[in-house]
This record gives sequence, C-alpha cells and structure tokens, in this order.
Amino acid sequence: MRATERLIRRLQISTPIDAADVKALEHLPVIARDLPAHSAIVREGERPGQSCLLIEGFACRSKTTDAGKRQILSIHIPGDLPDLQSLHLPVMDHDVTTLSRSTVGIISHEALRTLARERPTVAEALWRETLIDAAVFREWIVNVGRRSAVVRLAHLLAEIGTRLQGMGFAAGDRFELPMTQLDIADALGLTPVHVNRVVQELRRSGLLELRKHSVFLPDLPRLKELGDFDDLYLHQSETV
Amino acid sequence: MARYFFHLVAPDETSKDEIGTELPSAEAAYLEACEAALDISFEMLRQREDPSRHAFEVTDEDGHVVFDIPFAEVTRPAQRVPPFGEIHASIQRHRERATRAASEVRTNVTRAQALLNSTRDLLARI
Repeated sequence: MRATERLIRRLQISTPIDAADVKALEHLPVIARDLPAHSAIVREGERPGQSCLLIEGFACRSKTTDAGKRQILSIHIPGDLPDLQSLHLPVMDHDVTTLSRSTVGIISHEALRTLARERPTVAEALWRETLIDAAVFREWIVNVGRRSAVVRLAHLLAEIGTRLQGMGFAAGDRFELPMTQLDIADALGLTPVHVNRVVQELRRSGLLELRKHSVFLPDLPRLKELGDFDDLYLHQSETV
Repeated sequence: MARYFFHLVAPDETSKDEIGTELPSAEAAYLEACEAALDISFEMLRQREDPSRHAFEVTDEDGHVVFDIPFAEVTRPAQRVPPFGEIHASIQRHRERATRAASEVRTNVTRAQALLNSTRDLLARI
C-alpha cells in the first residue's frame, strides 16, 4: 500500500476531503524508512525539519522522569502522524519511539506547509488530527489518574481495538498488539508484574485471550463496560 | 534475560502466574515484586481488602522458588536510616561530650586528691 493512502484514510475518518485534496495528498513526497523495534524516531530536545507518518507497525510517545521512569503518553498505529506538532512547535518536548518493527514515512515540514496553504480542507484535517490527539491525552490522564489497574488495561485494549477497526486494519475484538509487558506497564503507570496480574484477571473473567502478541476480546461489550470506555473522544466520525 | 513467575499467595487461594515476566536478574525480580506488592496492596486497601496476609512466591523457569515476599514486609515503614552527615555530627557531639566529661573527672580527682592531702597534713599535726 502506498504510504500516502494510509494518511488519506486516516484523515478521511474525521474529515470529508474531496478528490482534489486526495490528489494533493497523493503527491506528498514521503521517504519510507524501516526501523527496528524500540528505536527513536525523534527525541525530546530535537528540532526536526520533518514529521513522520507511521506506515507499518506501532509507535508511542513518551516522557521519562529524572529518576528514569518512563510514561508512555499515547500509542500510535499506521496512518498516525505522531509528531505532527513539530510543524508548529519547533522543539520536541517528548520522545517518539517505535514499539515494534516499523516503517515510517518522512515528510518535510516544507511539503506539509505548502500542502496546507494550497488545500485548506487538508489544513483543517491536520489541525483536527492534533485536536483529536489532545482528546486522547485527556482520556489517558483520566485513565492513569483515576481508574484501577484492571479498568485501565480494559480501556487501553478497547481503545486500540476501536482505532484499528476505524482504520480497517482489524476487527475491534481481534488484533495484533506488538507491545511487551513493560510497554503496557509504562502506558498504564503500573509495574510489569502488576500488568501480568491484571492480564490474568481479565483472562479468568473471560474478557481476554492473549497469545504472544495476538489479542482476542471474546466479550467486547462487557470489556468496554468494565473499561469505562466510550469512543466519543476518538472522534472517529466525519465531523464536518 | 530470564523469565520469573510471580504467584500470588492469599490465605485462601494461590493464583498462579501463567505468563511470567522477563527480567535481567534475580535482583531485578525481587525489586519488581516489591514494587508490584506495594501497588497491589494500595489497590486492595482502596477496596477495603486486607493485603497483609498476601505474598508473592517468585519462581524461576524450572519452578524453583527464588523468593517469598510477604506483602506485610513490603508495606511496613522502613527504619529511617539517617544520612551520613547526620551520623558523623552525632559521633562528633558524643566525642566532645565524652572528652568534656573525662576532663571534669580529672579535675575532680585532682581536687579530691588535694583535699585528701591537706586532710592528711592536718591529721599529722594533731
């Protein structure tokens, strides 16, 4: 699949874009790069001249405390532009790292700026992406700050399933999740051993089947209820 | 990296860890278990449950028990170990007090001795 098709599909989830917009997006120059798991795409403090489009694989945004504790802030799936903000905020204030083996598409800020100037609907769509980003962060603050361990994990699984389904990559109840126990722990603000306990709790309740990296959620409605999950914050429907 | 299993032992049942966690060393496994025991204790207390009789039984890949970690041990407040500077200052204070006491004793002994001598002189004159 062409790299730009991923981006077009992503933007179309929340913004109706016309044929001319699609054509302009198709002409966006994207340089694909393969990266191994757990490698930095861009680091805090850097001044990137480009943004990256996740084409294959999973990535995350994170910050690390002085004591060396990492908090994963968001998880990204193909079609996401995890560092789009660097287009307008020149210095990175967090790290963007691959979680699995990934292919990222490098798009220069110059090309994005030209596109945004020439196609206002695309500019709006990109703006909307960063707003949805913020909505997801808000939900994650609630998740990490106010929910119990088992509810946090249920919420995270429901979110990833819903987003993958939105992109047409998987059914909401069955998908590949290439994250280690430590990655999940850092996303939920728990220790890996605690995550392990919670995974087993969900298993015993018949809400989760996990084999290596493949996730099956046998009773998605019940998992969403347990996980206090309402997909409103993902804004996965055309809003205009 | 080795895989460790953290079985949760409660008074009435043991919940086996069937997944395990990859960790670099037994020491890392111990620290992980302590952290997790704290987190799980907090969650239990919030739900008005008693974690004090729970424990982690940590086993290696062959099923051998590496550690037993009672939650009560992890949640007990640690004895405060004062920083080195504080210990040093305290030793210094004790030493000065001892030196002062020794010199006071010495003065008193000398004074007593002088008193004894003068008493002896007086007695001799009688």
